[in-house]
Amino acid sequence: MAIASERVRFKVNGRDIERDVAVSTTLHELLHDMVGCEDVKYGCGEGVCGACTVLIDGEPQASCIQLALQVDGLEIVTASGLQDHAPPHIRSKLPRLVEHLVAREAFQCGYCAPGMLVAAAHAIAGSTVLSPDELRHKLSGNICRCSGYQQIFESLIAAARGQAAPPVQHPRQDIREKVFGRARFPSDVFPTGEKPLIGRIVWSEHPHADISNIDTTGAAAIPGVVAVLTSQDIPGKNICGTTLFGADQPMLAEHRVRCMGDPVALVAATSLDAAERAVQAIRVHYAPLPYASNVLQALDEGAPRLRKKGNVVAQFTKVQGDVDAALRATDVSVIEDIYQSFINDHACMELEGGVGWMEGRTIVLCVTTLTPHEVRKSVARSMGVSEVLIRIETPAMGGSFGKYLVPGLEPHLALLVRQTGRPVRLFLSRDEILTRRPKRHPFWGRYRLGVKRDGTFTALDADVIADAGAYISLTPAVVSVFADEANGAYEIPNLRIRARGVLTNNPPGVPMRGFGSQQASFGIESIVEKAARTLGFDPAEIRRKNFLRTRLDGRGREHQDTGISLAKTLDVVANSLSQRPSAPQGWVAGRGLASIRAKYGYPYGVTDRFLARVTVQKDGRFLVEADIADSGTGMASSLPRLVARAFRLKRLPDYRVSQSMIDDPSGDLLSGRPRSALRRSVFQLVESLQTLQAAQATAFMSHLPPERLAVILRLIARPVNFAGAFVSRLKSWLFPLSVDSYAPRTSGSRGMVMAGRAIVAAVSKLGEAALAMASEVLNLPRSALVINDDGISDRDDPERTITWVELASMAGGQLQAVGDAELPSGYILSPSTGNQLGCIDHMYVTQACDVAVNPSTGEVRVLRFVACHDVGKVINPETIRGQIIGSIVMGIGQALWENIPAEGGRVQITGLHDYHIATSLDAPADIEIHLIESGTGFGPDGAKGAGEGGAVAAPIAVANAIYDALRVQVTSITSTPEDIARLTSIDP
Amino acid sequence: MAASLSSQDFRYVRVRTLPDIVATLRDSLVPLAGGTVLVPKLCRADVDGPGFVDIRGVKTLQGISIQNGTVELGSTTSIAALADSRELHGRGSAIAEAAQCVGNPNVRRMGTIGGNIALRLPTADLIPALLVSEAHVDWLSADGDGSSPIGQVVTDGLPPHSVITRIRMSSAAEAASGFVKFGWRKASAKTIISVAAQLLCTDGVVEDLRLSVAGLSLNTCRLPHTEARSVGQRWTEALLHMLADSAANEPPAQLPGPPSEWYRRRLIQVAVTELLGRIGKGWQ
Repeated sequence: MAIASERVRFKVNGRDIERDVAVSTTLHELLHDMVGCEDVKYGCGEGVCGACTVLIDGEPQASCIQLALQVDGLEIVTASGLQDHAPPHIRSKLPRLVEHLVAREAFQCGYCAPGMLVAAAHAIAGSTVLSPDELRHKLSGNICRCSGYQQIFESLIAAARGQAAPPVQHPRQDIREKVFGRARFPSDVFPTGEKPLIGRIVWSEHPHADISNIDTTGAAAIPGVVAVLTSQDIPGKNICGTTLFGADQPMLAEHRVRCMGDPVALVAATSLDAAERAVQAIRVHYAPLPYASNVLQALDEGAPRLRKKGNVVAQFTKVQGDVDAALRATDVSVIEDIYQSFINDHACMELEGGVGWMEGRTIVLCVTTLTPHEVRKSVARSMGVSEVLIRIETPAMGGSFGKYLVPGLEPHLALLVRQTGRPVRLFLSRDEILTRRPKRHPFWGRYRLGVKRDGTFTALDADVIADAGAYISLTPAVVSVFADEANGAYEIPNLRIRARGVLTNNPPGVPMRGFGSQQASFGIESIVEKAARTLGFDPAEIRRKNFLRTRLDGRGREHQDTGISLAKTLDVVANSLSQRPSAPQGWVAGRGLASIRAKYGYPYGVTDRFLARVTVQKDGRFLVEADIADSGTGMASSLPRLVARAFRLKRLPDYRVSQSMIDDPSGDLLSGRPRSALRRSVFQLVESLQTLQAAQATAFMSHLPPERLAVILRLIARPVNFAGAFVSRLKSWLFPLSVDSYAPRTSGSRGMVMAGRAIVAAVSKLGEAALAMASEVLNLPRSALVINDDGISDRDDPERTITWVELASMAGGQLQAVGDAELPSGYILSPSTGNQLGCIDHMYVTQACDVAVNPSTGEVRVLRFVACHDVGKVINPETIRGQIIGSIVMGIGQALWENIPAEGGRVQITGLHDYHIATSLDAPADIEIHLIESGTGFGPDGAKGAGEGGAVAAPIAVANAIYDALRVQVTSITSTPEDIARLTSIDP
Repeated sequence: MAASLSSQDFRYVRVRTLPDIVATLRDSLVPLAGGTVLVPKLCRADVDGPGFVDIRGVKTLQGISIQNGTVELGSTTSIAALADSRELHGRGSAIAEAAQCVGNPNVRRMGTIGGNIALRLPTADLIPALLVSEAHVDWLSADGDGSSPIGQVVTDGLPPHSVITRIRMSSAAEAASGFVKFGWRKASAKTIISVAAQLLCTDGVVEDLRLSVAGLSLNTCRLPHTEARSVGQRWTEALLHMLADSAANEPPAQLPGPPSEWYRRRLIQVAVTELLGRIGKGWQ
């Protein structure tokens, strides 16, 4: 439809604004895209998430669901204007509220923060102090995907009561930037100069079909349409996604579509309306094919083959002892069942997409990614150009949760930019994200667990399968975790685990928080729970009796700490759970437990090397750099805190994503070496050899029985491992400042572990260099010197100090050091068992919850939640607490609310109104977190990863609590209220 | 009246008076107040009509008044105002309770009672509450004004090119009423099932019971059979359960899609039990 335009006049943050806008322009578009209020975010377009909340004449409202013209004559205040332009009663408590939010690290990615701040400031305004419940109601229109809300409400309650914020030595400054909307996310980027074109995607209309023709003539003729592109327009290779395990995913479908998420064509236009009309005008002629909508169907003889070699794309085994004999033993009860988990969406609050433009011959993409090197490679491959002609910029990230471990739509954006030569904004709608984009791998697992009369586990026979969706992607990595963690937290002498990844015509699977671990843990913890309840054991005691006593690291070495740590987490949780809370009338109370081990620092069986640079700048301020964008996990503060702590700095160093590290993974740019095509080629060759090692994971696929396969793998383990280690060493020697560009920079809770270790190494080098210089200048031995906030001082005469400014000046303007960290790697096969390794260490977690279940309606209320995590070492208490609480709430949501109905490869929901992320009213209010510092992790001071364990254990604890309440087991997650109601009912 | 640009374009016209509205209705403009549903629909190019007429500036369409036993709600009264209204909590608590269940606070501040009725969505929470209040919907069209029972509006819609001006109902001071909703979550929840009820007993005997149901996969409606079974009966626990069973088995027209019919009926039974148990407490 043609849209008229009209003039609107209003006031925003004290400024008078007058604009001509199209009738259909929403207030959000006007504020964010036209007036420059980048603090007004967009998340849903339905008034559900509240990211776009602004004050309109003093009342918080969602700006995405009203027209710009509707605010004519009104006064608007956004988060950035609250301090100066909100009504006085709203302004009065704002400074204290912000101090609390910062001190308590209430936000993580911070995309929701400005909208939340507007609603929060309004909620606590005035003299009436609302109760915690009332505050939760007031903010129930603002969704936070990261935090689980607890630290937000602790801040609100304290600020409302006029309490001072707790003292924090080095507060997270990025949170202050985020709450006022000063942090820039990709969607906030508007290239200067030419107005950007709007990019849109034409998606597949079938889960599986041949394409006979694509007619773009009608679309190209629409006024305002600048480009209509198909696979024929791709100048390079028609490949996208990660190629670590296989290059099977086309960027634009040419002859066949394999899922509803396959892009078929691209459009760029001068307006969204023109782009949308062009999408509608493109005619794609399909011949539908039979499709596989679940893994069991895909494994059938007659199933449609999604690739020539068959639908199994990954197989991993874990074999020890004699399972059949153990299960046949007379004193052993065999407990068996099938468990499943279904798809979930990452539901990052910021919409997926990015902005691109040309700078000379260079394509610049400003995108959300955890794997910038892979993205650059992917784009260069598709564009048919050298990687040096691609620059990837990674500003703040509006959530990730594993989604952005895999290159996504960057090649599509790049193609639009390249073919039009103009800036392009390509952002998906929430509908597209939910119906077209990758999801967590669904899981199917059949278990047989042998249990002796005294409760000892004797054998586990498990067949576990991941639904890869339409493409291989990182499925082998996920499946390897299935195999590695199939026996969960338990010592089981006889194991036969077969883990497979299977192609279907469902949305592609990609890692999501706790990938592999969540699914595998749900399976093993469910069968353990069933064993306890069937055989009459206390669920805690049967766990304690069977906890792992040893663990293997990535080189197959045995460590002894595991059992102690697991038992401790269980003890802490058990001691915290006092009397069971009572359930409301007509409801039933239940208590559930989960003890898990979940990988962190997972290197995919390949080398994993991180770099970090610490610089003393000429003004004496410290700068910390790494190639990691902060997805909300707090890296931007956690890494500088390590430096501040080491050098006793009063001011927290700045953090910057190093563009030179991103631009050149070989490290030549970082070291100041001139760029050389030869060295670039050698680097690429070495990395190709390294990734071959990863490809072995798929090469080990076989239809051999697991026991026979293990024999073969045992024989080849030593040469394979040797080759991997040799190539890694060769690379380090040739490229001493290189990173491993094929591996996502952060994933699997390893950001702090890896980058933290690199920082510690850099700090050590920098300290040594500074001490050497000071020793010479002050003419003192190094033992007589001390490092402090001012610089290096004479221990006995602090007045004699050489300042950081002087040290930087002596070093030629800045003093810097690069540190590196490398995971023990290259060992993906155990020479003793032939089992695939990969995970170098695990998190140990026990969680428990009390729930009330309404057996009639299937409603579940979480009454209490207690968690104990062995985090190795607590470096940043509020950061860890926030990560764990946030992941617990996400995990509870995946158990109870985050259901995605899908049928025949088609997702049936289109918005956040239907995808039920927990609101502040759904999340438990007082999650109790206990931390154990075993000091056994690979991170700084023995720290372990922490960001995923909550999401792994929480859904299990909830499912087991429902089991306890209803005496019937929940065998699949997500379980809707209807599913739960059916557990105790017979559908007539 | 604000000038619009071009008759063939999708237009936006802001009005301040009822006569201005009439003029725009002749042009088939779609009334817009809160916009919480219509604006997202416009963003999806899913609006029929040549444009919007923004009626929020018409002062006579705003406000809550209770006079001479009649409750009058201006059609652009915000849902938040209904939820927070002390008068309604005292007299028409089904409406106030239903208003509290709509969307979330941001949506309630914007959404209006007129919009909730006019869109006739099965998940519109105010409609079942208005059904048991036997509200009348006053409307204005290009051809004149009129009034329709809410039940008729639910089934047949409003006259073409009309706008709701006011909702009227008896204050029913002596009756008790309430509203219950089941959604997947506690805020921003689509209604799986909602039930509204209004109960009047004399000397412990049911004089009048009105029950209505709404939600995903069913058409919003009253439950006349169940209502009739209650009249003249002594208000007891047994009657309550009989009515809940009856309500669950009184089949409103089923729409396609989840939840299943079995679950829907179960929720109706639970909701009626809970609601009648609550509002009937004083009558036993």
